[in-house]
Amino acid sequence: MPDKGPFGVLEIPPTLDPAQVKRAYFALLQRHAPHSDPEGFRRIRAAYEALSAPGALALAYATVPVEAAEELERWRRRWSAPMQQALARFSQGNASANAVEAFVETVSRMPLSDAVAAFRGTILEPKTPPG
Amino acid sequence: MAKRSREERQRQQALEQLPSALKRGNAERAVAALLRLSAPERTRDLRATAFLVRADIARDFQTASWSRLAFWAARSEQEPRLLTEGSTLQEQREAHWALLWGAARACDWARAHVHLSGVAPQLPSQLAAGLKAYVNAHGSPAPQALPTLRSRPPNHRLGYDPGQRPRRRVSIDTPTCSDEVEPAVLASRALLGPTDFLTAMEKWAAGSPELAPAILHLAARLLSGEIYARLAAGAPAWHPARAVARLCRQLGAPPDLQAEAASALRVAGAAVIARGAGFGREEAQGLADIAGNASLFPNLCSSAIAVAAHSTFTPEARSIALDMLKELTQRPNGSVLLLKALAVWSAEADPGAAPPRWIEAGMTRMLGCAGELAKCLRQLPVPTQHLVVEAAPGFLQLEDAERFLDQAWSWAEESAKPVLLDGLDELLMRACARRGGAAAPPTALMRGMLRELSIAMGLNATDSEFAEMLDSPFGRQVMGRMMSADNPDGRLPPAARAIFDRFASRIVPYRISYLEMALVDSRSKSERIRAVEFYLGEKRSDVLAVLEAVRSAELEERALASKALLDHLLGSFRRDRDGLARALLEAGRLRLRRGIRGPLARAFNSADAQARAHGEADSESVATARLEAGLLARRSGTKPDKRKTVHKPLHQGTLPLGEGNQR
Repeated sequence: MPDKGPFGVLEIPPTLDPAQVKRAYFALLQRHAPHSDPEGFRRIRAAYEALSAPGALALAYATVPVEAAEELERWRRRWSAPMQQALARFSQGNASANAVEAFVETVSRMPLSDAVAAFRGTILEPKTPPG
Repeated sequence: MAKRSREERQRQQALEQLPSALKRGNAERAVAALLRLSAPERTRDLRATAFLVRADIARDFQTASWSRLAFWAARSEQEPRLLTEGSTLQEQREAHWALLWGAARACDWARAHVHLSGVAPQLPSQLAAGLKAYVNAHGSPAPQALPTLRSRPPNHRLGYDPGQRPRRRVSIDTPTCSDEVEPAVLASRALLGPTDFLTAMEKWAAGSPELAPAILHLAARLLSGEIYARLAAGAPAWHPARAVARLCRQLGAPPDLQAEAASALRVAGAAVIARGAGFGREEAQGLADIAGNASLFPNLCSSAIAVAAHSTFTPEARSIALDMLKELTQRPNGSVLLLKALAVWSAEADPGAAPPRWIEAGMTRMLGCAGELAKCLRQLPVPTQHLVVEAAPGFLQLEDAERFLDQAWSWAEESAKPVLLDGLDELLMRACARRGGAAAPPTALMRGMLRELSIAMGLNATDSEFAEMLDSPFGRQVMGRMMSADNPDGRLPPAARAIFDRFASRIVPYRISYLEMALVDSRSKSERIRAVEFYLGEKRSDVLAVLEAVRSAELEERALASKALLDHLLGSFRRDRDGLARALLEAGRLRLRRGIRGPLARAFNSADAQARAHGEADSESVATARLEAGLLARRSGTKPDKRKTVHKPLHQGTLPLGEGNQR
């Protein structure tokens, strides 16, 4: 059985509020009374004591494992699409810039006679924007 | 002779330089000289200069030296004849073509336009139109306006390879207004790895301070995704966590980034819990960034402090750790980290060194606040608690060290009290040495010596093993002798005595040495009896426990304590024949010296005589004790115990297993 940590045992999200911890403990006591469920009681008591020691709640809050998969999914839902859209927009803008850059790079390095020869007979083609 | 004017001097210089430059083929110098002359005077050398200039332009074009061409474009504007004088129309057009590109690549669109006009009539119409669009749009024409080159003639002379197209790249310009921030930052994150992204964002933020908050804010959010991605993949997430912390910090810890800061802190927290060994420099710096940032968020401050309090560091990371702790102690409830800082600092400090001023001042403040020390100690992990309690008495100022022990006593559980008592020994030692100047605290000194020895012998002893060695009877003897070096009469100087008196009621039961100190300055027999009874506590009615205390006093060479305890035993149990019998037999088994066993035997004989007179039955131990007492009596007749009545002052006894202890 995976280690749920004290917050998990008390069935509360990580918190820095001692009152919430206390409330959760006493609520669970109803279900895990010492006489009816000694094992359950020991577990919730240990979790409660682990969070009640001086400074322990703050440390437990800072060391509770990050729910990485869930957070990553949430992050992707929020940011993946905007990032791709922004990238596409910049790629489109950059395609224009790249076309100009290619023209300048090519033509500026040709001697005049080569440039004249290369462009004689070419026609101006209408282009559709990239992307 | 009248002084020549400045213009005249320059003219003369130019007239001298121009032929020289032409002779050397230096076009730049020749043009500089030519341009200083008046228009009529230029005529003579203009043709030769123009020839040189056009040759330079052609060479610069071949080597794609665009900045040189931009220079020539400017010069030719000052003297247009440089392009036309003595040249054919084709040569002029080639010069204009080269200067067009020099000016255009320098974004000098006005000059580019001039040179385009010079060459346009010869160009194919599509190329001329495309170049016109390019120059008129200042380098950013619509791509449709440019002609497409179907086939590119190779020109190896220029280094132009038709198969090699210019590298396409997506470049994202620095946002210049708030509307551009989000798309630029989002696209950058999509394009760049986390490290490059962070560098780019910080560069953007530094370049435009008014947009910095928006840039950094979004960057922090986007980088937090890297934390989750790495954790989900089971990879370390220190770097993105540190980057997020840095960005949050630069923004002044805005509340809406608290979730990101908490994630970063949890990365550090998990490392603190998982790491057995201390953090090295790199990780310590990461922790410092992350915890320092988290501490700026009111809701995360206590957690950041807890993580820092539970971290351990290698000696190389000590300075980074201390800087971090210094910062965090300024936060609300950060005073617990003063203790941590003291522990970190003292781990590598020389005996007798003074801690940094901020630790000393902080400790003084803490000790001035009732209950604060105990509260802070409780928040530290147990090993750190012990380190602090070991270090404080040796390194804090004497008054603070005394207050520290006083307050720490109320906090200490039984397991921590031996460490506190070591601290008190150090404090007493320092108080004793104060008269003649500073002395190294004996425990630290001894521990250092043991550490050096263990390293030299190739042993890997732990701190707890060192503590055990020091707590052994021989360790205590050495400590006792060190403490008595300044006090040959065994009496503490007034300052140390005052400290001892303050703690006596709490500490005497814990160590025989404290009982000895209490007895040295006792003024009456009743005081001595009280001290012994206080030391023995509930054990005072157990004859074997009292005898064990006598043995401890003997082993530690505490002569006064030994005698007082023996007197207590003989007095309290004088009518208990069975008890005395057991004590006598146990003393023999323990090989206590005859100075102990002799009085015990006599007391037993006396009690035995009274019991016999009352007709009490003998037990087995009584019979054996009689034999033991008889043997002792015979021996004492031939070999009197020299130490029978002599009790040497403190720390001047014989070794515990000396001649007198042998049967």
